[in-house]
Amino acid sequence: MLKFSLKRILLMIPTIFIITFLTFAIMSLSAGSPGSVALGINASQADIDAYNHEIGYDRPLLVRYVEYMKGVLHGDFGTSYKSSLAVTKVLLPEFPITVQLAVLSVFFSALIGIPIGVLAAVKKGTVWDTGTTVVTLILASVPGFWLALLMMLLFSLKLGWLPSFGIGSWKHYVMPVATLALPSAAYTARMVRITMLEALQSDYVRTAKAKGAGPGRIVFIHVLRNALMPVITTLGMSFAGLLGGAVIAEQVFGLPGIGQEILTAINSKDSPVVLGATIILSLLYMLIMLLMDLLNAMLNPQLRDSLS
Amino acid sequence: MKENNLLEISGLRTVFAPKNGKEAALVDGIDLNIPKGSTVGLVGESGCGKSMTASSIMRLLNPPVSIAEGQILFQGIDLAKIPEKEMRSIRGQRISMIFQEPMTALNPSITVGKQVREAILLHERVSKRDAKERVLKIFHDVGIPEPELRYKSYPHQLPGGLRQRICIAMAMVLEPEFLIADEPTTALDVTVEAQILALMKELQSSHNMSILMITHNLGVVADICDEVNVMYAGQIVEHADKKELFHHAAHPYTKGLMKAIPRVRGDVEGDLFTIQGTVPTAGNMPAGCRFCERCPYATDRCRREIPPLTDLGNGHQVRCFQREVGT
Repeated sequence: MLKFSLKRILLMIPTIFIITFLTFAIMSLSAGSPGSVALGINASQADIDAYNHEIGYDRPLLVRYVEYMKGVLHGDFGTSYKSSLAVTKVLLPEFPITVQLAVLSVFFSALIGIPIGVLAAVKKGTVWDTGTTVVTLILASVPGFWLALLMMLLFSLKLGWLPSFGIGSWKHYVMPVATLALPSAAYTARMVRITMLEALQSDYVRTAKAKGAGPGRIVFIHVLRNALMPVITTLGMSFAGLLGGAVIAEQVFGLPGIGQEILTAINSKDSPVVLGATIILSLLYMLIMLLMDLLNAMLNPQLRDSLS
Repeated sequence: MKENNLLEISGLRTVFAPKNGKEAALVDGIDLNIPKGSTVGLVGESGCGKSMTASSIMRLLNPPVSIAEGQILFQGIDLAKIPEKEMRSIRGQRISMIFQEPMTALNPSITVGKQVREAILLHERVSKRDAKERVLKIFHDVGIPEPELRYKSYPHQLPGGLRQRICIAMAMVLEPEFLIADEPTTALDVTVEAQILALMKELQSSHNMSILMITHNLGVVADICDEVNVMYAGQIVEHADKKELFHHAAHPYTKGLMKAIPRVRGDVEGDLFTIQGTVPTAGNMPAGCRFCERCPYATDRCRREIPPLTDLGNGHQVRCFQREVGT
């Protein structure tokens, strides 16, 4: 297990290099240069060229890439072209917001989705099952921004219970988290229902019944653990996805998160910020995936054996 | 209920009845007795209702399959009628069951020791430690080497034969009066099969329990059973004690099954005999004898009327109008 983890962590190194190089190349190949970003549209071409020469932008791509990675290894992610601040300074205050959003969303989608899915499977064919199937189908297919606007209309405008914009108290998080968590909870519930139904029909459940085990014991001791393994992977992936992809919720509710920052940075061709965020997000993503695999290995002895 | 019978099934009908669909009988009015301390075989092709009969006795049917009619008397208790809670206290303690696929019959994420221990803890108020001691003892009794080590194994870490021993240990640990074995050796190698059958015989005589052995393998019947019931398309078509059946099989279906056993002696060159056609599916049964479409002796009467189960003496019964033919 330890060997497996170490191997996976070592594999992250080449992966990071590939990801950064691709991002680096794409950002360099697209139109515009740091000089034009920093000096604005009214600057003369001569000024822009001078600026680019000064920061070494006129050197070959590979040289610049090696230079950049040297800095990264020392914790220097470069300087934002736009704000002239260190990239770490730009991103640091935004990470906690996004991470909080992602953690809360995944937590609530598991907390809501799993019990609903389990109940739907156990009460298959009843009104509860049909009802939750319809509701979760709707929630899973509704676009996030629409849900966000609907909630704003109701809770901010009509009832005035929740603030619709910015950060401050826990109340500011309710709607953004709901926007992200509800569709994900619906998806989780549907998935749990299917994996539960499959596990409930397995031979080992029949064996447990033949032993004299009751329905509660069968669900909680025998089925749940086996049924939740694929769900854990999905939740991990949606958590990782939320880190970079919570843009809509951040945008609609005016939360200064990392997703919004990346979007602005891409638009303004602020390569150091895009690169820095990409590196940090990819690392986080890979760490989460590793964590999910380890968690699955804890639940699944067969997987555990194949890893060691 | 007769004194020497442990279990008496009469008129059992188990049906598949979907909410908006046609009802079909999977087990169609069978009578079956299990004498105390004996091994009774239930033989037939796949899909003839053998496993459904077993699941009916254990009440392990999943809707829309359910028992529609009949009695399953076990020591004076009608298993077909008692509430689920009462049934649960019988399952695993007084009647237990082993299944065909030892690969999938065990929970992949719980150690086999704990799975066997669960059977004890479900039925008796004993400490976990005492229960574990008993599991180790039964592991030893069913021939599992290194019980302490195996206790902590997960199913995938054990070979098939050992897994089936675990399943037998699980079924035997509470010393049930009645064991239902549903094709317990079908998924195993021939050498392992012989070991498992020997183990079952040994356990039966040491615990004086009754066994219902469900199999499609007449070799297994010859090896382990005292009496045999041949099942076809949801009905019992022949019942006799083992010797009688092997020497004087009366039903064309039983004879077909016997002829289909490969033999080394005799005409080795000829093709292996097979019974033509397949078992009719529930809901598409012929009006008369259910075997008539595959029977070489079938007459018009066979196609019209369902033959009754007729007594031939010595407890030999057969469901055939043509029982003299070919004997």
